[in-house]
Amino acid sequence: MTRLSWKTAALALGALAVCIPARNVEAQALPQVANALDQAEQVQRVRELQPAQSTQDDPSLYPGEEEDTGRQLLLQTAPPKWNWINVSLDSQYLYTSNAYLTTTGKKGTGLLVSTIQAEVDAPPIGVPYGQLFLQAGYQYQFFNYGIGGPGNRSALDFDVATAYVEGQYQLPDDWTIFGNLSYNRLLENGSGFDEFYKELVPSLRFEKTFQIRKNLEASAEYSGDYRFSDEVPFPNQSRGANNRTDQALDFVITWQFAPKFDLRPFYRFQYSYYPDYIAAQSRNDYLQTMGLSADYFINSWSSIRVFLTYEARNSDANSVPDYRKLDVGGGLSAAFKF
Amino acid sequence: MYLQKRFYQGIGVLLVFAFLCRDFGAAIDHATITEVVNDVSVLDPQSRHTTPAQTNGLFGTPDLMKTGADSRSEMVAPDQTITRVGANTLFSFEPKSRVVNLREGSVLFQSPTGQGGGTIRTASATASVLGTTIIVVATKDGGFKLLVLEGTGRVQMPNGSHVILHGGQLLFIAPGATEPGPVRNFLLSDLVDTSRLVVGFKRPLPSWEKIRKQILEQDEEIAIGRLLVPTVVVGNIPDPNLRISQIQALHVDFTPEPTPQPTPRQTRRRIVITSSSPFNR
Repeated sequence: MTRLSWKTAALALGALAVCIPARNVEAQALPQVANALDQAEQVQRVRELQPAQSTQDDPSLYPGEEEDTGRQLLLQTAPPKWNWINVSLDSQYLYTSNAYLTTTGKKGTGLLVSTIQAEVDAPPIGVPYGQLFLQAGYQYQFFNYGIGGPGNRSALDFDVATAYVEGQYQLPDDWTIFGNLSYNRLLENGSGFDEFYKELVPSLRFEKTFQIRKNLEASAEYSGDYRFSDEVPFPNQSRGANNRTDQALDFVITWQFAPKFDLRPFYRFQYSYYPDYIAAQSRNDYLQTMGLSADYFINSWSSIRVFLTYEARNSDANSVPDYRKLDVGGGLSAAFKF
Repeated sequence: MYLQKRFYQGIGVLLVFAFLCRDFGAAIDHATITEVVNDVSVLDPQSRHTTPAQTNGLFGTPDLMKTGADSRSEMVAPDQTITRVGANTLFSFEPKSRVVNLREGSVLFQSPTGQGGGTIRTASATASVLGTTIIVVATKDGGFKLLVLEGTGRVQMPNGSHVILHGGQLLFIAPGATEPGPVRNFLLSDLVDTSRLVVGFKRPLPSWEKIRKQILEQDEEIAIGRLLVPTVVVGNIPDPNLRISQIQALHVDFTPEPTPQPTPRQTRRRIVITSSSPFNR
């Protein structure tokens, strides 16, 4: 190894001896900035020489080892092929204690939420301090009430169609910034899929993840959006009565308590401000959601889960009821990448 | 009648217990020396008496085998387990077990399938195999390396942690280190072609066909691009056989294991719905 060090040093000195005069001649003709770049490059090259002398990556434990064992030419593992298309299917059944979101006279019912989503994921782009991921997709969801009873609540059924583009900026120290633009449409289910609400939602999210232990992770997230809405208005309301901004804080702990099993307690606080809700009056809502989700990952592309969620909303608008509700259910997810 | 039934039950339990506790392979505490190249000697640790190793001679516990520079030796145990010893090596068999103590140097170990495998113990780690061909390298100061030629090998650290390796993979522990380095893939065909422990003896290894199959599998991985052979351009001529040390000396960007492919974080909003009122969020 000593011999290698001397050889490496000699190579380095030789390379510098050849390079430096040539660069001096060039420097006279080139602008100073190019010279500075050359300098930086040269410093970088000299710096790169130093780890080359380290034994850390040299697989030989002693001189002559490879004569007996044979040459040990290390192979690189090719990065796996990038999957551009991501198709997800999800179905969950839950019992909600308050289907109409009322303060009193709560009606419980079963609810089946079925989701299909297709997404195009672009390979990451190297940007200063991190990587940028760009995605665009379309999602369709069916909300079917009253399945499994009690009562017939199918009048509440609706579908949601969402087209979105999203950028994720992954930064060092487990910081991620999400920028999203979604176009959501609510459609009446069972009556010709008429659109009764639509909104355009630009949003921004900042997420920080804390790896507490190998199997324990916590994340904190701030998100903010503005919803430009459009709907057939009620009396004294404009078409954009549901224009609003949401400001939310999320806290999630993910504990892998056994191989393939995750337990996730979560809490969300959301403040919503409707600037022109009814008769030129604003509206302020405070929504708190907390719950627990347990996931079992069957294989690399499917999982099942059970969950329990408690939600409470308080609003200063007289026409908007405060409510409390409890949801409990389970779901099945599958994701396919191509 | 009842006692007779209990007696047979007891016999049955004992038989099952005896079966479970039986030694699945005979001990490798001696072997026949089948080939000696240059300076190979056998040292009696009690008398300190050294004798030159002889072809067809027996080598067993508690003796030590010592090889000099440019020397090597091959031994075959009664169960056909083959131990090939490289240059500048000091090793011994452990009594009444299938353990080989490698103090320094290099050893190729090939245990036939179904014979109980074996364990190579060094100062810093142990390598265990079942029906596998491996090479183990060790230094006095705790340096360790396991190269798996075919089959599966297991490296166990003193703290109980272990790493599994497959054919065409190596792992090394730097002298003084307490944690092993990452598992890396090596070009098996090149190693086999240039290894004295593999091709430096008169008779081929009984597991040669398995090694050849492993080489073909690795070649396939290379052909489809899952494994990449590093190439270095020297005087505009790509030289795929340049040695690692030379690659490092030329400070070519050589990363044996690239970082895992980055993936975007799953957006929780879209698929995990834990509320019946999604438009509250």
